[in-house]
Amino acid sequence: MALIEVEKLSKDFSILKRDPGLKGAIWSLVRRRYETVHAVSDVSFEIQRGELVGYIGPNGAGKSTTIKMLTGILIPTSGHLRVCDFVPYRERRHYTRNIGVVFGQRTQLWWDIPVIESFNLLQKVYKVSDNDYRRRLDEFKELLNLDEILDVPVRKLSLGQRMRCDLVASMLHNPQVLFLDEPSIGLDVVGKLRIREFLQRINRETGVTMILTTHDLREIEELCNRLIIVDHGRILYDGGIGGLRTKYAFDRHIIFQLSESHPSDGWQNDLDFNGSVRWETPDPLKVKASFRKESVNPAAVISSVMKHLSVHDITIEEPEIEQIIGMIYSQGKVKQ
Amino acid sequence: MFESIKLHVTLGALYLSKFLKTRLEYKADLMLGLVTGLLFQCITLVFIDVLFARQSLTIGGWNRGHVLFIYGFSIFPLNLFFAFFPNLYNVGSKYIIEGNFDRILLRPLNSLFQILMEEVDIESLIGLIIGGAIMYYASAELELVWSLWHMPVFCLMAISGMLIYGGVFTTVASFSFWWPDRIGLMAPLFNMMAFGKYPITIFNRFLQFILMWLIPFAFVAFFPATLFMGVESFYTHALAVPVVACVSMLVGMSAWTLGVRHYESTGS
Repeated sequence: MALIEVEKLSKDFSILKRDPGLKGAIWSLVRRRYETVHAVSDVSFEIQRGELVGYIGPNGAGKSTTIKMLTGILIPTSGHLRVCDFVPYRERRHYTRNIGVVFGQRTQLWWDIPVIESFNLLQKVYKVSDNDYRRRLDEFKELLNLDEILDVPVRKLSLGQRMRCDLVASMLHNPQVLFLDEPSIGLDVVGKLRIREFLQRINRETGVTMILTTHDLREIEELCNRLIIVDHGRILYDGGIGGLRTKYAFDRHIIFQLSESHPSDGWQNDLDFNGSVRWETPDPLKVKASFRKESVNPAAVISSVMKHLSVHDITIEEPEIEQIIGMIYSQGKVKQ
Repeated sequence: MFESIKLHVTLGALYLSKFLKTRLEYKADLMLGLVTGLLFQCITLVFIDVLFARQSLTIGGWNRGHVLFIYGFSIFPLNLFFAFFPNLYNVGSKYIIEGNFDRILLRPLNSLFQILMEEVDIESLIGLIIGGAIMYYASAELELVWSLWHMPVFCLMAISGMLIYGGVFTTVASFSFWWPDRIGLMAPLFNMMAFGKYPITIFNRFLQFILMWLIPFAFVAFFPATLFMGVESFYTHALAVPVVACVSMLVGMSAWTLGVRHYESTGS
């Protein structure tokens, strides 16, 4: 059985409609008009134990709403939801012992007290035994370099330091699932890298299941083995990153830089791969071959071009994951 | 159930000690708070003294000693309430509109408990000294004799009074889950609290009904005070005070639970 089961999950919000200006404000006191917004509609997926899933979509796509339903903060309008054998919102207090949550936008630690005191308090809140607590804290301390910041109140920490502390706080009770909502937002390159390594490591070592929302697609690429793309509250894609690449890899390009200009015509005829390669010559010293990854062997393209033309440099281009996601967002669907 | 209560009590003590520690870090701030608190209390004392400058003054059959005693007692539940429930005022703004309530819901603890524990106004407790002084003075005037059994009853009554306020304000704070931007109900209720400081019999019937059955502020100070003043006609009411406290908290907590179910979080 899957660790997380989501079936036809929907969440509607009713938003008070107000006409602009003072007149509108006064009118709204008397006559209230509500508008229903479908933040999440008919979302279904399953996640198995130990998976590391990226949950992405443009702003306002319904990611956070979904995460909030999964973590028991919001009650779904309709649909079925089960995580770690709990219905999150119904058995909130038992359920939350089994999960860890990190919001990049907002700390979960107590603002005014030193980090270590926050951790000690959490130990009591989650009833972690002294032994487990000490062992985990020691390990995390080393992994995330926390030694100098443990005695500092949270409000005095930099964003990167705070984020590391939040990560530790979410893992102290050894949760089965870790929800990360934009954990790297606003961090510098080093900070991002450190967090990425930490997540990879604890996923490997503790087998904790992770769901990660982010706008940093590099992060998704390096961390996740599965990607769920949502927009307008619906799932656009659910599958591996490799699969997405294959779908969009139509244009894998090989660009040949020539040492002397190519013959004006006819040279392509010998290089006919049954029409599955598209040839372009942007300038006399450049030839560009575009083709689908699965139908043409790139090595064959290269070797046949080398036979006919004098090549002095080759670049292979694959569409960046950013471009692919950008295309999906703007088209509102995934290519079939 | 028992396990859960035990956990909450232990954590309550822990939260409180952590909170005190942070307050002690800002010693100057704390001292200033205590001094202004004391000054504020002295001002109300002067006000009361002006009111009762004439020895012979009576209101509705209650003499100066009675009124002072009730007033003195009322300071206990009121300031305990101000000390331990100040965060109820922030439920709409800080927790619901700003979305901090998300964080509360992610912890395996009662949500109301967490909010109450996140802010404690220790300075309010300084007022208890003034309350005690007024009561000491008033009991001398009424020639009351205090005995040992009064102490536990006194504590029970003061805490019950705090819980009556707590329950009523929790109910109102729960409305923020539906209308987070309206704290309009809080202000009139704060004013209503003043009625609790006087003998209920001086008000008209309508107000008496409200103060006993709807917003039971009469049980906060007046009825308990009659018990210590030996006004036997109100003993049954005085004994009902802990019951009223329980009912008030139950109503508050039920409204809270309903409200939490209605919580819609914020955009991001």
